[in-house]
Amino acid sequence: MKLKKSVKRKIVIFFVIVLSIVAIYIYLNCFDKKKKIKSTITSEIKSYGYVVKDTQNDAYKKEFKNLEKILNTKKIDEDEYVKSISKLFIIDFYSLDDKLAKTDIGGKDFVHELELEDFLEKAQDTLYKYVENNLYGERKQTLPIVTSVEVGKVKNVEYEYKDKKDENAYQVEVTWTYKENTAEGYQTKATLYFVHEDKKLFLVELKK
Amino acid sequence: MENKSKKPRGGILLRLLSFIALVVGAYTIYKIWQFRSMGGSIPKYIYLAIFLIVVFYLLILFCVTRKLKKQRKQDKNLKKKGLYTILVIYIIVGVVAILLSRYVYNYAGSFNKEYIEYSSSLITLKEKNCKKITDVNDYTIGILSNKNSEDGYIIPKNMIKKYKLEDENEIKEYDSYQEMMSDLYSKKLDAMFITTNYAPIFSSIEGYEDIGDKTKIIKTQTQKFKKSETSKREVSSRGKSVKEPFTILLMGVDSTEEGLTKNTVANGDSLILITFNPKTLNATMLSIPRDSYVPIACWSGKPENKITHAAAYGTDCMMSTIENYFDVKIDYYAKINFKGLVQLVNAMGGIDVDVPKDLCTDDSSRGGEVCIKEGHQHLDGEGALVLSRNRKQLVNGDLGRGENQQLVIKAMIEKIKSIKSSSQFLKILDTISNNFDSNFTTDQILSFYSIAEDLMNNDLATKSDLVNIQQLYLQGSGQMIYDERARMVLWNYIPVEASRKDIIKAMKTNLGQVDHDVVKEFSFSIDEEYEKTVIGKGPYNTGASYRLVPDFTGRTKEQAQALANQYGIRVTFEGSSGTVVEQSVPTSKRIDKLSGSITLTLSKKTADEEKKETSNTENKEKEKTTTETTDSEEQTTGSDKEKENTNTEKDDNKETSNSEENKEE
Repeated sequence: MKLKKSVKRKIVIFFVIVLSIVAIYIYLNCFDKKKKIKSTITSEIKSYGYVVKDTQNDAYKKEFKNLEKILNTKKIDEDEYVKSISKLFIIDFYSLDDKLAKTDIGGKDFVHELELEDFLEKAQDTLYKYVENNLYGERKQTLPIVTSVEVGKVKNVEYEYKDKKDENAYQVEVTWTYKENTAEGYQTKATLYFVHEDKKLFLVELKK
Repeated sequence: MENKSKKPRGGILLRLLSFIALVVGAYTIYKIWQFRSMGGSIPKYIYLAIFLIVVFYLLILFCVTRKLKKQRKQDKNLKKKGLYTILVIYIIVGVVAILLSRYVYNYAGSFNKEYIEYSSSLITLKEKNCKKITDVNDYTIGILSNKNSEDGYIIPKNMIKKYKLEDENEIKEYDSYQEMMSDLYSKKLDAMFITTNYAPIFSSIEGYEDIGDKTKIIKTQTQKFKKSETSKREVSSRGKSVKEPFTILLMGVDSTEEGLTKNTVANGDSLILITFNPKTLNATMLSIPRDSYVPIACWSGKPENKITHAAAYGTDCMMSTIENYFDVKIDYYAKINFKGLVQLVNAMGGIDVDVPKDLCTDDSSRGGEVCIKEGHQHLDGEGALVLSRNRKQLVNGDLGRGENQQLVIKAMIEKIKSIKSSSQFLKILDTISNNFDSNFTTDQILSFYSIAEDLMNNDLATKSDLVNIQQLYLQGSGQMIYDERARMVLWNYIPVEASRKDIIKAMKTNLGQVDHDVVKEFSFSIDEEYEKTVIGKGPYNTGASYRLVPDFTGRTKEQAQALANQYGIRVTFEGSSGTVVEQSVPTSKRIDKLSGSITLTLSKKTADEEKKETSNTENKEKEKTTTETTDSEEQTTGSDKEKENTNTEKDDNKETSNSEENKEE
């Protein structure tokens, strides 16, 4: 026996309503609207261990391309090399806005292995201490963004560290600027010291 | 007529099965729903499963309704085998899903115990000739006055009723176990009700070291209570988001037994207060010294006492005491016993720690000694327990132990990096579930792991710490103070107020309750080692001590009056001459707790007479022991001087002692 049209209609309406409610509920609750941010390496200079990630800011990405050019030449201009990594370090370390969490400390590619642990610990306790987690893109903090770095004097100096000596170490003076209204009172100049280790230059000291 | 009788039979069965399917479907949804906040892609599968359950049920309902309509209209017995089969399969699948989810949820959530077993015992001194409860006649029995205390009042009251103890005995109410125990020892009480776990709690208190040998249990009664009904802490933490800053109190339970389902209160030896900010991944960690002299929140009038003494009054009392003292709300607690720590560290595959010195302690079953060596070590569970427990071999005793416990916690947090998935994380928790108790829900614990997992997935914690821990230290000094409840002079750790304030500020800053100072500059050098600052260590100008009642005995009236004036104490004398032989208020009682004056009882002899008597006695004794002749007058003077010096030294020591030699072990 066939159902009456009105009964059929009621059943269909009932089904539509129930399924709509279920579908709306699933949409609201099931699909994670917070997108987890996952940083991925977009480019790297393998023989030097330098990388650039998609989450890093444009200034860094631009200077990284310049570094790739410098290091891809047969005879590397070390002055240019040290200037480029000085810029990259400052952009990455002092730009806090593109960091996913306080543990995401910038510039660590350029810091000497022997110093790295202390460097990371000190950065976490000081400059990065209150950088909020942005793994889910929910951060509302205003954080510094370095827009440009000026490299001043570059000098060859003798540098002693941990019972070692580099007679051709580099002393680099740098100044930098931030995006407006993101970094009031933040540091804008520093002197960096780089030493040779194999073919690479490593940052061993940063003076205010 | 025949047809009519057949029709409803088939209809009833179909309706009944549909109803069962509805109930099973609804319950399945409820059970599955409990997993909604688990990490990873689990929530999506949960919603999908719920969607399918609903859709299938609606389809079945639609078919059943149609069949029943057809049957009614056509007035004949339709074939319904297929529909029966579908309904039965639906019900079976639902029941299997319920059983499975129950199993998984119990497995995941067993560290948040629903019920807790409280146990109370009627105890007496061993010398009492009382073997069973029916022997308790004409006794004065102590009971706690706090009507909310499960093992101090509720269970004892049930026992009193059950064994009709009120008929033949006097029941005396007390504010604290300490007072009760003191009266039991001094035989003012014949028996008392106390938590069955009293021996380990009291054995760490001076004067009660041999409590296990001196007392005996006459009768024990246990009762299960729903944790949410006995503690407000259970309910308050539910539904709280772990994305917001929170505090957690870690408590070590001094128990070698397996299991934490009983109300095994921590004895206050290991108290670590942690604040954690999930936004900044900053944490503060404070080890609270067991002898810290702080106001005990659950005692009437909140008098100061050793924090470890709050332990006998339950987790809530301990937590309230810490909350009041450090002015922070404690959101969560976690208790772990010896076995739990050993199992946890072993399940993690051991931890890497810089052990400060060679240490040896009993193992987790107190069955043999375990030793660990100084230096960077990979410790298994028993090794980690040695580092967490040992204080007797450390120069700074309990304070040093607190620092070592923090090393173990930090190492365990770092070890989380090696956990590959939430299921592995749950498996580790499951291994300790029997020896771990907390008011965290499964969802909350999994949320922590989810944050850690996301950090590791982004390679953000490979070389740096997963959590940045700011160490806090409660600075203080030791002082011997007369304990009103224990009725004896005990060693206490008096915290420096400025240190407490600095700690509170650091915790509130991390919790986002006060503004923080932003560091905007940075420098480093490869030749300068970075050392983390410890908040609360000072240096502070002000010390921490209370003014205490001096020892007046052996002094003349004039000397006693002068001493009283020096301390700003009012004294009255009983008798007119001689030296003080008794004082109405015990030595080392806090002067600020005095009410009225102190009565000093004088001997009737004059000071000279006393001197003479003393010297005569000494001379006689000397004559007995030596053949050498001595000048008795010189000796008398010398002896007197010595006595005075000793008295002065005694007072000074009581005021400023910060040595741990006298403290309770």
